[in-house]
Amino acid sequence: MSEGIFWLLLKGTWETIFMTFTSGFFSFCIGLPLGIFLFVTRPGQLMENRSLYRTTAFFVNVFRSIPFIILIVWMIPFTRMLVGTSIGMQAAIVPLSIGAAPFVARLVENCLLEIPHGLIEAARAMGATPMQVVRKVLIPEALPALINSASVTLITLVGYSAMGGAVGAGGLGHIGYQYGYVGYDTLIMNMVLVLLVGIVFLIQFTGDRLSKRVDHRK
Amino acid sequence: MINLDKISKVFHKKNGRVDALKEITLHIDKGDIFGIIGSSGAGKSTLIRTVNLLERPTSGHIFWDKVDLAKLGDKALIQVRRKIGMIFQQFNLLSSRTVYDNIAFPLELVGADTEVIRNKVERLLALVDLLDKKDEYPANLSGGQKQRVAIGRALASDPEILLCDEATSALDPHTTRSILALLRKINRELGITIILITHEMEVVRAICNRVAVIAQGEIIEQNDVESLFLNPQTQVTKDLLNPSLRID
Repeated sequence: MSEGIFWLLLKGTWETIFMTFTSGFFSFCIGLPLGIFLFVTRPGQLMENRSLYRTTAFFVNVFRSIPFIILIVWMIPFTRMLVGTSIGMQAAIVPLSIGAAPFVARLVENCLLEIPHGLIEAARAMGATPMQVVRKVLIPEALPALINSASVTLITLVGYSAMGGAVGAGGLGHIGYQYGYVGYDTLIMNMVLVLLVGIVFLIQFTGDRLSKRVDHRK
Repeated sequence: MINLDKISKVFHKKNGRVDALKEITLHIDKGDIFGIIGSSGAGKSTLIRTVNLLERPTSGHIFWDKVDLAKLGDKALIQVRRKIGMIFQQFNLLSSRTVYDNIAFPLELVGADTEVIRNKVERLLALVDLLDKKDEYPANLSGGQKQRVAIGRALASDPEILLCDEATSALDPHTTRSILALLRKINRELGITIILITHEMEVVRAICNRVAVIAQGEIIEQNDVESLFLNPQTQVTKDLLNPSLRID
């Protein structure tokens, strides 16, 4: 393997990791509050509000239905407004974050649904404000599940980030496409795959460890 | 102390209207251990939840001394709830917190400082006899120990009233006895008024001084415990007094 290829793959790996974690971070910044909002406005919950819940759920579903490759193109004007360009890694992070956020919101909502309702009721009986219920009951009790959701999201983003190649974002996916599909260089293509598998395994492994560490339910 | 005045609760379900509580009127004195007994589905869980407004009654008043709790807004209600402790059949401890942190929870809610919390929690741990378990997580405790933690937690905000929602129904007879003994101690030594619901006459007999029988959302009988046992007025009460499992 020539030194050129080594540096190419190293750079690609770094770009993929950077895109995955940055967009993962931003998608949680949007998705976590959104998921909590979905949960608390559900019928029978803390701040039950049928019309708000339905409206939010509607938009979440709409965004989840847009295929990611189309979302990238569709969002170009917004991306340009936000980061000043529609090409490159920074530009890819915008649709990646927005694309994953509704997914995260649904995952978070599901995590919170797993919490026994009695815990929320007990907290209310003790005079907890809705905000205290969120901070001191919902998030800590759902933490193991939330960490698992973060692993799932990051792994999904590894795959999505490969499509960032379409806007010149680079990353392993782009190298795999360029050298594999276009140039048919099996060696590089296979190395890209091995690296991607490695990243995914590492995320899953770390996620499982962390989740287990904060789980005191058994 | 607590006066329930014509409390009604209607649920609208898919298969129509359910009258869970029908014009319930009860008077609970300071220092009482007041039992509400009934079989499953009689409305007793809904009833105890109206006392701290976890369940808002469709109509009626809940007077605590002169204040009608049913008329309070959310903010004022939060303050009142901090003076009413509650324990549950399923314990409802926070799995992510240790015994110590579970008992500290109500104190954290009011923003008490660490030193105050530590003194208080240590005292409560001693009261419920769990000093050696303070760093354990609830998952490692037995049912009786979990309920003791729940009692310690309920007492942390110095309540005047303690609501017990089937607090011993998930426990074996031996553990039930020790939890009931603890409740009586709390009532006598701390002067906390206790309202408990149960389907077991034995629980009522063991610690209550007054009792009301609820069936199909209505109070069909209420009396002091001794009189009720000596002279039950209704068939429902007689059945509750004689819970034989024999099948005819």
